[in-house]
Amino acid sequence: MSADYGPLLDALRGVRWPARRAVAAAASGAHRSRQRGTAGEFTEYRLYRQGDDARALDWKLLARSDRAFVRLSDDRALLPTWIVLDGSASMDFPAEGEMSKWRMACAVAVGLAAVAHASGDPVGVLALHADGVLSMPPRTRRGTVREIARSLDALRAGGTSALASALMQIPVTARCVLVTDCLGDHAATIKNASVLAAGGAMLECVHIVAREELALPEGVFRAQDPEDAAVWRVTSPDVRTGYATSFDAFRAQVRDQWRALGAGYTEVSTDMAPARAVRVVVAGLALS
Amino acid sequence: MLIGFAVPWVFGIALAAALAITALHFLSVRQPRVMLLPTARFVPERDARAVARQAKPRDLPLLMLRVVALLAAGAALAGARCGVAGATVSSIIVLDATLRADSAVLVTRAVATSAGADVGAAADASSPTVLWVNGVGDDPGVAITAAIRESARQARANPSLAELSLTVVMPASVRSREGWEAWRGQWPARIRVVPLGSAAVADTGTMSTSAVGKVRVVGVRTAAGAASGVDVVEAAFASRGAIAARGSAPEGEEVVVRRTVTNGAERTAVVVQWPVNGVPAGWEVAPAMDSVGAVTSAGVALVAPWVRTALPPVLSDSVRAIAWWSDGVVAAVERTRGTSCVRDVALAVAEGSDLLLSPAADGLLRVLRAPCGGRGVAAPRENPSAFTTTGASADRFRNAGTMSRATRPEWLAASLLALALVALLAEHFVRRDSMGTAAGATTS
Repeated sequence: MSADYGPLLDALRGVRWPARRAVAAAASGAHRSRQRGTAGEFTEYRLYRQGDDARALDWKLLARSDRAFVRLSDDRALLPTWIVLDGSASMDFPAEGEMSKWRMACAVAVGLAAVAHASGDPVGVLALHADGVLSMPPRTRRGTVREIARSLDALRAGGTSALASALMQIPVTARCVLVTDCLGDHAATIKNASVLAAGGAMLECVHIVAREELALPEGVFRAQDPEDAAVWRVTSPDVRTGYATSFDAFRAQVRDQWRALGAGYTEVSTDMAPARAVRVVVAGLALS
Repeated sequence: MLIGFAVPWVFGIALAAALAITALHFLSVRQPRVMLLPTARFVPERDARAVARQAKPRDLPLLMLRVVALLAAGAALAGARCGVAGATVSSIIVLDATLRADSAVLVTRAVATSAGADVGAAADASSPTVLWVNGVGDDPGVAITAAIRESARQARANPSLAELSLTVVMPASVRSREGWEAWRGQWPARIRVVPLGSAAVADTGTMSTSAVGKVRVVGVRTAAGAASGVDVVEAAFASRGAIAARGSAPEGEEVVVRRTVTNGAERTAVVVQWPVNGVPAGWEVAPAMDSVGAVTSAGVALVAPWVRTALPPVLSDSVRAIAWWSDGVVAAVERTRGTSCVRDVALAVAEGSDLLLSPAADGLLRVLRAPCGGRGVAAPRENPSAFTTTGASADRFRNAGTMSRATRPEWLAASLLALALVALLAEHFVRRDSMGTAAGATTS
């Protein structure tokens, strides 16, 4: 376990991350399942129908009322959780400083993985980084969170974003959490996310925003897009207002797009404590 | 290796453009410090650049490629010409075409004069170019025009040619100086004038002029039985404004004697003896009749079925030829007698012939009516103070007229254009690489 994540995991101890709705049939877990069965917590009786398992008959009730009923109960199922990280060059900002967007994304991912893993859910990671793609399928065994943390620590952000294509690798029965700055192939990502949402996947978007992005720095600079050298602007005091207006409008548009899909959306700034950011994400999901 | 241009101002434009580009490379466009910002797309667009001078040119490889491309293209369009270093001075000698019979002596004298006047130039010069031009004796201006044409030809043919000198072999007197005076200014250097004959040299300044129309034909005596008829020679002179007067002539007028020399004729300045039988006094009778096709004088040939009846005397300084048969044998001579002269004409003209009335006889009659030793006016003289140099710049003739702009050698233009194209392509790739490097530096 990386030493950086120790305080984070301590702060998240005891935090649970329930699913927003009943999950699909799966192995027994902590989330309410759409499947009705005979095991687990009793819910109601139903008249016996031909073909029902005779072992589900309530023999005592049959003896008292001479009517055949079967006992029904809600199933509890696991919810595989995929955490998809955007490791494009735009996430490596600010390059100097304590917390870049990429480091914040990694911390949030480790925290969410720990919370999900604590609920007994299998957790996997799909990270797009400078040197390729890191894919760790969801697992529930011990040490999964440690492996995820160690793997993410070894990655660095760079290159261009290919989040949309990576999203199509996620099964529709899973919970998919996108940790991104929404500055890459965002339009294509939204399009593919709508396909997943239509299939029943639970989508969550954690929008990482750097504190330095919220307001332009003082002075005159040649602002260069790290992912596209052809995109550059000159910053000056007279464009600060216009920039803030445009960026606010963009974030509002992103939020509306995700929520229109029925997905959860949480904006996380780099000046937030990662544990608080995880709690906000988990709570936001629970409240939505 | 010498390099010249057919159209130098085109290369000048290319040179100016190259200098302008070089000056631009000493200017730099300063841009603000680069800062990576993922949300740069949300910054409103505006431009912020500043131009400043710098001590060293920026993008030196690009500058070199651009200058090379410009100069190569300019040289190709300007008609660059390369030549090996060699003879840089050329000498042109102009002689009257009628003097071909004496060519050996005259050319030797002209070459000696040309070389002796400028020893240094002669050392570099190739063998002189000898031009035989018709009409130099009539008006030496034709010598200048012919020399200019030849100079332009040599200047175009030889890019290394730097100077040309002109030597004109000129008779003591000429028919007119108007052409010379009109064209003299077109030759921008001193012209060496080689006088023709020592006697003429001594008297060129005081030569009396001929007054056309004062020719008298005296002592005309035609063949017996035909005395009452009009003499053909008398009629020829009369048709050209001469006065036919029988008997003695006043002093100072030209006289044509057809058969005998009269006392009055002896006192005249010019006496023309033109016997009817074609055998002047002092000439040897031809042993056999000989037919000749033409007689030439003053550059004009009089074609007729002539019969040669006499052979000329030996020529000397006092006896010079003034007309020739078509085979080169002298047909008329001039004998100098102090300030006067006697001209013997050995042409037998048939009675009643209108041959001498034709325009083709103008040359012969003009020579016969000319003053002694010449043909009209004194030959023009060179003013030593007018021009200080004896060599004219070849560039003056090289750039004159409608010259071809083709390069020399001919493949030079294609090579220069190919060089310019290669330089432009290389400039394109170097510029693209430098832009990529700059972009990489800003993102790192």
